Formats: sequence, C-alpha cells, structure tokens
Amino acid sequence: MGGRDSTLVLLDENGIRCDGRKVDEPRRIMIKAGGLKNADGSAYIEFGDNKILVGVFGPRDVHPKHMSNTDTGILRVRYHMEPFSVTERKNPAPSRREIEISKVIKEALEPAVMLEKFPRTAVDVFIEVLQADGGTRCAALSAASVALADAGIPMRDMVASCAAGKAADTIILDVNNEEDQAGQADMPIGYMPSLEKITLLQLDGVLTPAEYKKCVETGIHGCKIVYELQKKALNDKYFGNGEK
Amino acid sequence: MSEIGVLPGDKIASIEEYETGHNTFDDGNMVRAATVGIHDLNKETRVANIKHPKMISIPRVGDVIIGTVAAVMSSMIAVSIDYINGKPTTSKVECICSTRNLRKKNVALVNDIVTLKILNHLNGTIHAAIEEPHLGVLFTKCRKCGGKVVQMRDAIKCIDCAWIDERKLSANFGNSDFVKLRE
Repeated sequence: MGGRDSTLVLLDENGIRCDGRKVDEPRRIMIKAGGLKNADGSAYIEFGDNKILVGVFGPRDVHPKHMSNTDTGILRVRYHMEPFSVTERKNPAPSRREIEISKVIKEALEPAVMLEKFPRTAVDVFIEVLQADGGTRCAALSAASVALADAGIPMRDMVASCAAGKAADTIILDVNNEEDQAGQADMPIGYMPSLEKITLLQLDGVLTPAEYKKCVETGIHGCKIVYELQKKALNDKYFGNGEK
Repeated sequence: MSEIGVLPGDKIASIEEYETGHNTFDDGNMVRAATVGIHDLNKETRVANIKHPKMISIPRVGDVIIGTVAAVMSSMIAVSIDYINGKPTTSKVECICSTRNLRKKNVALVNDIVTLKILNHLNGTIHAAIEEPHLGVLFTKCRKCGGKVVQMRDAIKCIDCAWIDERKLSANFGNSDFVKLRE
C-alpha cells in the first residue's frame, strides 16, 4: 500500500476503496440549476460530501473602471470556503489556497465563456463552499459552468470537471479527502466534452508516463459522467423532466 | 422552422447548411449553440438562432433603452442603461450617444432620464441615437434652481424661476412614469 498514513487502507484486496467505491466509480453527484432569485444564474452541487453553491452576475459594468478591457469582457471568480465548511473553524478571510483556486477556476472557465461579445464588462462568479470533503475545485468548476449557462452567458461548451489520482499504486477516479491526504497523486481535470478540449489540468504527485496517460483518460471519463449530470440539471430546469 | 432544446456546445447544423445567428457560433465545421434554449433553424434565411428565456443585460442593435445621463461632453453624452425594451436591468452598462448634429444648447444634462435607440456595438462601445421624435429626454429639472419644468414647444420652462432652456425632448416627455418616480 502506498501513501503516508499507514493505518488507513486506501484500497483493499478486492479493489474496494476506503469509502466503499470501486477504482473507477465517482462519488454520488447531484446538480441543480437555478435556486437563487437575485443572481442572474446559479447552481448547487453535491459531489460526495461536498456541498457548493454558485451565483453568477453579469455581464455588468466594471468597477473600478480601469479594470475593464476595451477588447473583451473580464471574468472574475471568487472561491470562498465558509467558516463551517471544514471540521475546525476556517478563518473567513481569503486564504492563499482560496486565492489560488479562484485563479485556477477562472482560467479553466475562460476558454469556454465568450467574453469577447461583452467588451468593457465583467462576469462575476461567486462560489461558496458550504461543506468540503476533497475535490472542491472540481465540484466548484462544474457548478460554476452550470450557473454560467443558467445566466444565459454565451459559452463554447460546458466545462465538466473531475479528479483522477493514484492511491495504493492504482489509478483511481474522483479522489476523496482521505485519498488526497494519504494517496500518491491527485490530478484535477477540467474538460469541454463537446469540443474535446482540456481547460484545467493540475498534478500533485509523481506519475510515470504510462500512469499519467491512464490518469488523464480516467479523469476525462469522470468529466463525461459529470457532463451528463450537468446536462440533466439544465434540461430539468429549462425543458422539464430531463428531456429536451 | 424547427424548434428543439439545446445546451451550450451542442451541434445545431453544418456550416454548409446554416449561418450563425443569435447565441450560436461556428467551430470551423459545425454551427453550435452558445446558450441553453430553443434552437430555431430558419430555412428561408438559412440562419440558426437560439432563443434563451433570460435576457442578457447588454442591449442589442435596435433595442430602445431608458437610462440616466452619466456624463455630458461637447459632442456626446454617456448614458447608464436602466431599462432595455422596457425591462429593468441592474448591469448599469453605459452607452454613448453623439449629439454633434443636434442644434441645441443643452441636449441633456447629467442625471436627466433619456430614451435612446441602440445603433451598433463599435470598438467595444455601445453607440446609441437620440434623433428620432420618440427619443430624447423623458425627465429633467431646471439647471438654475433644480425646480420642476414644463414643456414649451421644443423648449422647457421652470415653473419656479421661469428659466427657459433647451433639451432634445422625447415625444413622451412628461407622460412617463419616471416623472412620478422622481417626484
């Protein structure tokens, strides 16, 4: 068994993970589009024990004005963890990690959002993590994409996101908190399924070239599962009964 | 015309069959949806459009907007948009309107409420027109005393200090609900 915590069995001899899942099985995912009356678009996601709410405003005027771009709109993302989202109270002030994840999610959404249609304006995405259990950036990115679509902001494609990783020398799909802490690698992936383009790829850990390739393929498989649920959430809201 | 629900990124048609219209784009091969909505393939004009139920807070060409004058310059005014086609918007996006061709001393003053028609989106700026009869100032005040004004043909007169001034008045001047809102 690989990993830093020797007491935790990440993968048993039957190929079952510490939370009872198979290696290629994601956690339970529920996505709901809409829900916030005052936001232009919103979404709520439950990704395992992660619970995240996203609100989108815009396109709207940029303040301060010098931040606006005359050629294109700007995307502003704020990822924030609630003080009660983790076991010990988290300081509500933006941490280094939150600032980094805000930037990562912004850069993952930018290839999808057609900001060039709205010069001198801003689209604001507010992500509130109500409950965290590993993989919040992937869950937040998936929910932000649904919220942007709900707001009617033109997009080239939805961005679906899921992590793959390595624990107990095995490539696994959708890394949970224990596997993230004690596992060997974590690779969050953001993917535009219709255009078949990757918008986010991070890697924390060491993989061989063969493992890397398998990890990307596993992550993309997870993104496609998330994409189906994103489509269902939007179809439920706009077309009823999950059918177009 | 055929109407089917689509999501962003969904293929609508081949670029050989249809041109891109509202809320659609082409990826070099296919025309794809850019928003959630009902797709509308017009077989006469060969243009593919998507109808999204929510209105984006950026006005389109031809829309009539109502806004507050944010700045007055020598040959143009800047207007902060409050309503697009009668529907309120909170985006506070600004448009500019040329007043070069109007022979008026004051076309509008800062904080006046005006109605304009969107002409185009050029160089990242929304351009609007004020020339048509139904366009122009809907609500204004006396520039000397801030008092209530009444229309005298194409000019205005303050009912408190009797100051006579010029504006590019809309045909709806004084008939709008904004007068009641501001009082």
